[in-house]
Amino acid sequence: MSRRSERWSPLLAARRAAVDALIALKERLPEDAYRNPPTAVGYLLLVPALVLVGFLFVGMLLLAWYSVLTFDPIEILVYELTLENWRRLFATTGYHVIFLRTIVLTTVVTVLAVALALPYAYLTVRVRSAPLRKLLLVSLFVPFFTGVIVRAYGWLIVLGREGVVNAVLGVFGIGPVRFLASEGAVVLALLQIMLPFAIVMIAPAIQNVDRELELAASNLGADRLATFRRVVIPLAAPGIAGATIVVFTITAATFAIPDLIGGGRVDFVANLVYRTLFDSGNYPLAAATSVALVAVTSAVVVGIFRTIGSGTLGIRRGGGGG
Amino acid sequence: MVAVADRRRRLRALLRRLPGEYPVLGAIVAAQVVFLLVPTLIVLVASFQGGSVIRFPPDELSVQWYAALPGEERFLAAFYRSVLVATFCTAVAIPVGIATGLGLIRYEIRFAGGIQLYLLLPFTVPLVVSGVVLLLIFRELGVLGQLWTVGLALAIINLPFMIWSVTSRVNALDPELEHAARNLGAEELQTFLHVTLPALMPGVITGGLIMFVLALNEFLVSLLITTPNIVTLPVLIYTSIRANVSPLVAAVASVYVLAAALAVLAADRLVGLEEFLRS
Amino acid sequence: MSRRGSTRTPAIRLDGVTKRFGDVTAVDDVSLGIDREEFLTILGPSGAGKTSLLHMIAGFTEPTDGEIYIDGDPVTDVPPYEREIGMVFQSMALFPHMTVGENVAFPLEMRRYDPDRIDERVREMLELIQLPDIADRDVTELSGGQRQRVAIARALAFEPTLLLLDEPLSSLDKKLRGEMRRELLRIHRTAGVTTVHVTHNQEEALTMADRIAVIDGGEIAQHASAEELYDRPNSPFIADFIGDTTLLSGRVREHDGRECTVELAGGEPVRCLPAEAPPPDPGTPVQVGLRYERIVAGETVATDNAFDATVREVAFEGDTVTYEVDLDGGVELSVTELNTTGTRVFERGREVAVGWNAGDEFLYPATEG
Repeated sequence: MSRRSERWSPLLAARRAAVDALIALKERLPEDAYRNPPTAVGYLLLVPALVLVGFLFVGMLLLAWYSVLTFDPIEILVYELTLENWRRLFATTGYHVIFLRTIVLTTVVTVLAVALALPYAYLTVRVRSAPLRKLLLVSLFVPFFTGVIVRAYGWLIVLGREGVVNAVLGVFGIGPVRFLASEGAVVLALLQIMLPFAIVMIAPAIQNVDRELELAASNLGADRLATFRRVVIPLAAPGIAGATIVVFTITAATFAIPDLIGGGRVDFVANLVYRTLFDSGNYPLAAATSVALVAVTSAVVVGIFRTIGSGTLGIRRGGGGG
Repeated sequence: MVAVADRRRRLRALLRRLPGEYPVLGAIVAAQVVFLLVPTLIVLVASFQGGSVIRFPPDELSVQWYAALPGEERFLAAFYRSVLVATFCTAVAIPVGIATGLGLIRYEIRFAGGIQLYLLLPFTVPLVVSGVVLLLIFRELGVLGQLWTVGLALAIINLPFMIWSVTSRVNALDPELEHAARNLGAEELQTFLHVTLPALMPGVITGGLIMFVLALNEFLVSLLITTPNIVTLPVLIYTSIRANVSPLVAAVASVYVLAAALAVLAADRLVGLEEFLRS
Repeated sequence: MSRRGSTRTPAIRLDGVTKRFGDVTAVDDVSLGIDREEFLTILGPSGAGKTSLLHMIAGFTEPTDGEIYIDGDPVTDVPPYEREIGMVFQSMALFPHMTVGENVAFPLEMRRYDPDRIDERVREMLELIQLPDIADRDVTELSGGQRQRVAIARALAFEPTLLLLDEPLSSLDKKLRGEMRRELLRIHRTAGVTTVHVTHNQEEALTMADRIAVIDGGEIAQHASAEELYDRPNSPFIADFIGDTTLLSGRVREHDGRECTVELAGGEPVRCLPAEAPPPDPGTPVQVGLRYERIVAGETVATDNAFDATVREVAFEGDTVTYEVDLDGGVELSVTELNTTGTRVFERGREVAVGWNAGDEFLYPATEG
């Protein structure tokens, strides 16, 4: 009793009363509902997520619907079916160039990001020194948590006419060199944005590779490179697939970097959509362009799914964690 | 052939003599650390620029731009809105994430594979398209221009992060623990409150933190669905950069870098950054 | 200590090998030679430094001090993948993304063998482990015993100079362990490969090894044949670690140069015949080790030492019976008797006589603490 009086507090009493009230409420339900919850409860639990994602699902249908509506410069939208938007999309060379550039540069960024993420993730997972691991994690997460716009701004400061790089070059009497508004600058900046995504996706997969397998490979005659190539990479394939998909879809939809770093000369599809939407108010054409972008990225994602499987994006039941 | 093999062996012998556990790998990764940090931290340096133009090396150092921050009503209002939006987004995502994680893993759901694929839609639909889609929907519903729509939109597009963090925890939860709790006299609700939920907490914290930080930073979808009177901070920074590269913007952006550093610190304190290495 | 074929260089020699992790010394100044085709077992409790030792031989970690020689050549600078040492890991470490055949072929692939030679060698190895038809199987489909055999086949495929076994049987169930133990010995003899085997299981060590090195606290406590280790343990630790032994404290009362009398804590005089003459001087504190099975219990006993005792606990083990008895002076002993025809099992509380002959005991000077 003395123990109770010491720890007894109004807060505890209130909390207990609240829980008891909830329990009483629960017990009004038919007993099976909580003792042997039927599968229906499972479906019920999924409803909120299904509804939220449903916005996108319904929206996609809406988008497809918009893409076959007629655009009118004055009324904006006329509810009259037409294939004009699609015809224009397929017939205009300027659009082809933008789509092609988006796919090519996105592929370059994806390949580089995944290739660079592998050693980074590997070292982060395997390094024995805890402070070094912490340093690698902090260097990864501070940019990751800083966001695209601030980092794009950082790149402007680094690569600008009076930026860091030109200041360094100036010491050697070179320049100023114009770096911005080039494909190289866009790729560089995108790579810095995407690298943390790739690392975050790949690191858990490498963590799951049993250290003893690497020792075994080394013992059987594989040097470090061969061990990495023949054991670590194949076993981390799910993570690599996941990283490839995430990096590709995010990069393909990128807007800020081409806009700020590319200066209008290295436009991606997203920039095209934005211009169509807000400069000319052509919602149907913007919808058609969006649907086309979804089609292209989905084709790539399906391709990756087919070759390496759904990877770490899949949610696995049971076992040692998803 | 022998000469080549010999040279390779000598090269390897040389590499092995380099300091550290992984000398070559270490050098590559060190370069990556610089590559990741320089464009991020340069904003901090630029914000101490004394003059009104950002230039390297800075003319003189000063804190005048920070001193000017409290007077910038527009930036303050946008920052306040960003925090509201991120809070709303996280508050929506956490219960949804927990419910989804439990539902998918604890119950025999038919078409579970299909549902998982469907729930990945926010990742597979390009962000710009998600933005357009949400713009169309909110316009049709006549709610465009209300701040909560931005929070909802951000909850939708980042939901998979939350579901992920929670499912990995639900998966790792030992069912014996719940049996033990019930055996010790906890009925279903108390079992959930005292055993299940605490076990899921690291996943919920990780997921919640990611949701909050991403929402605080989100730009593209926000750009598409915000009207001028509800712009969030990233959108405002973007329009300001387009206008001019004033060091004032650098000072504002520095607040973001500091917020990111704080979030990383918080993540490390709450669950440990190593938690992010787990699948 | 005489060594078989001592004129030849040992297959592997450790010379003053030490491994420190920060302040912790995992392996402390270990020197050890292993003869060609010998089966050496390193036996020790967990945390004794066995794995560190094995990892240094394999080349995964470098010794802080000392040198390892393989065939007389120092190997400290040689990376693991150039050491030509086969190893069977505790977890087997079969590559899950490869078939059985690909696993066995992996070391040959790394050594750039001719493809035909690889196929042939894989076939030979699978025949050696008596599983000729599983080359195309996924390693995840294999049973525990099969995985074990495949791991051995992979480790031997490239004809290593040395085979390391790291607790190879610990993941198998008891019945399979016996079978795999015989199988390992058969493969060892067929392949004729020098083998270093690490285990914490004394039964495994006693039944398999030509010689056993007992390791404790990073140091080699005794390196000897199984019989020698069991019959003449050189320290109370070994006597206690291998076999079942009661250790009693006492003090030497007198000796005649060969035989001595030790007075136990309870005052009982015990006649001892130490292997090493002369016995310790009178007054020296000592420990007397008594194997459970060397003590006899009965209505009456006719041994050099005989005491009256009371049975405190009886553990019936089927083939044997173990009693815990209290001598009248208060000393506690354990006695194991074979359960043969006509053996009488004493019940708790019974008065019995227990005894043993001088020379059946182990006598050690008392250690500090």
